[in-house]
Amino acid sequence: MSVINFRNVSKSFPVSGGTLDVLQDLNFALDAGEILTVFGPNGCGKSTILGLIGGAIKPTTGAVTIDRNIYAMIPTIVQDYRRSLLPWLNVESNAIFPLTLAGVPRREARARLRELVERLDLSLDLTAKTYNLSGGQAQMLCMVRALVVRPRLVLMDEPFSAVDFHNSLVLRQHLYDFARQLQLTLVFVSHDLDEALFLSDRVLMLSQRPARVVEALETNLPKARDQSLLTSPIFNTLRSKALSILHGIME
Amino acid sequence: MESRRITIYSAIGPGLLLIAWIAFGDVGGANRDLLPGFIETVRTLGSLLIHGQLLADILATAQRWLIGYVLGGAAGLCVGLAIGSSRRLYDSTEFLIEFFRSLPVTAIFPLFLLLFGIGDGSKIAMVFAATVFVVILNAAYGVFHASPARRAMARSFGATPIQVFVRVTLPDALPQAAIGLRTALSLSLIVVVVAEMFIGTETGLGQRIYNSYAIDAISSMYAVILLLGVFGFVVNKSFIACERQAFRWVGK
Repeated sequence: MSVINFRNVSKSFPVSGGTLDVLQDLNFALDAGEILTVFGPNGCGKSTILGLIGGAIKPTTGAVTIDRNIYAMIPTIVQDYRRSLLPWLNVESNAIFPLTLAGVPRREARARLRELVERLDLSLDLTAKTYNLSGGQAQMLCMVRALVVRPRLVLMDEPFSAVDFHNSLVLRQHLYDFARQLQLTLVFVSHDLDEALFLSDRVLMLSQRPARVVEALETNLPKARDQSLLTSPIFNTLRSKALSILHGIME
Repeated sequence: MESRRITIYSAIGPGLLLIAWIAFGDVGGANRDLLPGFIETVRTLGSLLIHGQLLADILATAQRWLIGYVLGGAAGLCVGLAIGSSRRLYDSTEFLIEFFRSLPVTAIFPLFLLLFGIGDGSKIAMVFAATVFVVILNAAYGVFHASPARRAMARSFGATPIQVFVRVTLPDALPQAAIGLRTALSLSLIVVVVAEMFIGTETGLGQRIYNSYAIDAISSMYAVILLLGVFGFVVNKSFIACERQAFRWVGK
């Protein structure tokens, strides 16, 4: 049973003097527990796909099906973590913010947060001010805030592109481990090929705008992944394959 | 907001004022009917304070000012946050707000006399008017410039429009609203004093200034002016200290 279904989905936006075709005839389905990365050039409509899944954007033609009873809350983690945190609250209050919105009593919300932090084996200073966090810690907090509502589906829009390289490797690993441990379904938007391949079960490779799916690349990588995978022969083979597809897209 | 220390430089401003006043008034032989010496003024102020003659005036002015300021600030916040949340409401009220904000409140004192009589009502109403428009505009700007990304985040977690407003937009808008409240603080203080000078009253610092001038008690007049200046400085500094404490997160 697929979680999300895109059937013949196209999307255009009105612009002065006509329309801008962003997505063209997308067809794909996503299974529960799958990690899918949407990979493509900047401005090709990757974020629009997340908007269609989240429900903020409606398709021009075609249909996006998703069972909103099961997937009632779909947290989105964005690139600009500073603007998505609430600086007037401390780390803990930020992390339990979605729970307090839903009316969960603070005491219970805090207990749930502690449980999550322990389960994921995170070091996070809950009393710190968010503006004193490093970029990596701040984005980690955004991930914790998304996970505390026990979502089954999480959307991520280039979450690590504003974090330095070292931290992006660390966060990427954490994210992968969390997703597998919590059996999350994850849709990840990226323009970093290594990141896309490392995290995914499948990579949707998009063309320039209006974006079509050029290839839905199965990674077939082992379930247990760590940094050593990046230098392994199977990863290199996969990367070469992806690069040759990319080459085709650019020509 | 950067935290600021009191340094030797902080003493330069008051020092310059003091030197200029003493040089011009005490030593330089300025017309005594227009500017008394600094030392004489301080002595007069001390005597007025010690003998309690100023107390009734201070209390009367403070009361008018506080009532007008608090009511104007509260009303300004409510209206400003409301019109900031609705483009239509803002567009339809923008002219009125900008029109009245641009007018010197003291220039339309006949209007206040007409509406509120010559008692405390008209003076309080003038303080209210001097406060409310500045606060409305700043509170509305605060809402306009509240982060759309934070609102989107809250919505993605299922926040209702009221939750988005109360838990995200409002705290985001408050620092700008506080700037309006601070601007209105000194503006309204000026207005209450001028109103007391224009509109007949028995008590009040403005009335005291006017009467002292009328009876040639020029050092009493400057004593009250000195008191007002120092008071305005202290109030403003205290407000800034509170702002820093409450909005440590701003700009970080």
